[in-house]
Amino acid sequence: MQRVADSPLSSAQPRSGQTFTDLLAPLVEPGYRLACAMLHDAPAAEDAVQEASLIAWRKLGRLQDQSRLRAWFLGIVANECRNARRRRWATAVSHGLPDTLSVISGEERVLQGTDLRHALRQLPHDDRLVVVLYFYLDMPLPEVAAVVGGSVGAVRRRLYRAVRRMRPDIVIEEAI
Amino acid sequence: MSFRAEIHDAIDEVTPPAPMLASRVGAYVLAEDRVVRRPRLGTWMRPLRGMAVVLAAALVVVLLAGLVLGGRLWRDWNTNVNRPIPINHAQLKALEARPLNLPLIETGAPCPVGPIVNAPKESALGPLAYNDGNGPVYAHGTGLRYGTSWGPTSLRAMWSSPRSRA
Repeated sequence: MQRVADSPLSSAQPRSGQTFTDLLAPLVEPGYRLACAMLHDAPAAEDAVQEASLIAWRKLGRLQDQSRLRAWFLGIVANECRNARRRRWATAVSHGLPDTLSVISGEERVLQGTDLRHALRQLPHDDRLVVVLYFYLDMPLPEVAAVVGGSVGAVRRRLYRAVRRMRPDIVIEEAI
Repeated sequence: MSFRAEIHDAIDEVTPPAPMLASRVGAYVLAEDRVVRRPRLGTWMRPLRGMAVVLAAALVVVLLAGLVLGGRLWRDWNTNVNRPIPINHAQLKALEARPLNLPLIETGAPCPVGPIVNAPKESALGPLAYNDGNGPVYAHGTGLRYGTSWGPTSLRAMWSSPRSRA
């Protein structure tokens, strides 16, 4: 485990733009992809990542283990996504499927993707989070567990349950 | 097509590229951090802050002590002052059954004035207390009147010298 004694995480050291570039900047892109997958709304995803980055920047000194930085940051992004969805529920009626698709593809593929996104949106927040982290960000199960704050076994069970709800006909062992 | 690839395709369709996002977020974070970060307290403020803490702690202690003492006083008041005095009904009946022998004074007769004597030295009231009667039983009244459930009552003590009992 890498301790904070002489790492850039130490709160005793002045934090600069270079510190941000070294630590958080590489995590913005995966955070944005996670937020897009959770919210299906690119501007809202950008806002969530921005707020999550500010929170992470202010709490950076509390992180003890630099190897957990990515999981820690993605956990903050996931929380911001949950808050963003709550705010949206409070201010507007759900729009259902996204209005625009950024990539034009074959009709069948578009319908398949739409169905899958719709199934993803129907999942509870924590189930959707493990599906996105595992299948979309291609994170290993232990790191997914670190993001959601649970055990590997619990994450695996949650994944089974979520995939079964999205695709009842799928062979789980092939999926996971 | 695997499930993983399907997920990738489905989510990529709603994830437009954002190449400048990292630099934009970095500028936002650094600007917000400068704005919100509060200036450090000056050295002259530190003793005041310490005194304020001590004062606040002292106030809390005084408040707690007051609550405890006040609670005890309230409890004692309720226990000793407002407590109803028990009545021995058998004794009361016996007293009420005794005949009341009061001297009769005829209409127009002069008011008989009882002698006022000095209390004996062994009196708990001291040598300067004046009492009514010739002894061996003396009446001593304070003149204070009390409101009781039986009506206005004047406290009057009857006492005698221990030597006279013998």
